Amino acid sequence: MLEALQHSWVAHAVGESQMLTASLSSLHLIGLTLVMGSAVLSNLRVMGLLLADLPVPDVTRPAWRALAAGLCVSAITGFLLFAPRAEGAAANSTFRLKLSLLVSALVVHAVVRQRAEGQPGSPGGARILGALALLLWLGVALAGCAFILLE
Amino acid sequence: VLSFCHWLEATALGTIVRESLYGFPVLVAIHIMGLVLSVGMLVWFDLRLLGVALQSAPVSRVYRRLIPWASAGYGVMFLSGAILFTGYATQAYQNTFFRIKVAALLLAGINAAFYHLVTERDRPAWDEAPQVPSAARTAGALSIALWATVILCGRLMAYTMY
Repeated sequence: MLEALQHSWVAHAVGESQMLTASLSSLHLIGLTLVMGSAVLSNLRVMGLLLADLPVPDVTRPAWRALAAGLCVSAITGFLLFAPRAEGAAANSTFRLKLSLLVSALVVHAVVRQRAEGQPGSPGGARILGALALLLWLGVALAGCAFILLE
Repeated sequence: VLSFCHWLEATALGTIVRESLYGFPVLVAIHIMGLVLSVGMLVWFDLRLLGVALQSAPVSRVYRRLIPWASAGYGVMFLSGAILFTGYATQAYQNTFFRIKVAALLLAGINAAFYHLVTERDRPAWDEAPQVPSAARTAGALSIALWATVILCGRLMAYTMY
């Protein structure tokens, strides 16, 4: 399947155009900025470190919508950037780490939202999980940088 | 300007950025972390101005709470960006996307200054309103557009310089 993707017309189009690759990479970073900004805002609120006088859902719900929008942009552009080097990237341990951290961050973020939005104030458990979600999102961004810069 | 760029590249810092094995990738990673924190936080103030998020808090309070985090990010981003520039000053100065990026940065600064010096004068009248006047909404929209341009050109210059 990876071989078929790597030899598809999409992969050839992206792989043969430096400007297309650069533009996709730019959009990937814009998506990441929205994801990270939303993740930081949401989890700092849950931890009681930012906008603590606003109800948790007033912050975490719009943050989730923006995070999902940013993730869509990054996922679509990321898939297109992945296509021309699908086999190499899939075998790369940094890339695998990035995807594992992304899945973990999404799961923990969802749990944090469920716990924090359901109760008034910020329960202690949600605060610790919020810090964990923040660390996982930071890991996603750093692993992404490492994959691009060190390969 | 070009002779200043040559001088920057010849400094010890410029040489380290260019020649050390991990100096460049580590600085770029720090630059990107600064970017996602600064612009990622600022965008929420812009979205408040646009009336699409955090409307239950006054505009001034959203600004006061977000700006320390965004400022920390801007500090990291500008410092790491300046250090990166010393390594490749000549190439960067001659790159079209770098020039557009700097122009967008300056315009973002002018937009912020205009908001604080002019648009904000009558803020007490609309501070708590979910929807703010069009001048303030325009400042928010311009800020998002200009910072997206900065990011776009930042990536494009990386692909067209080396």
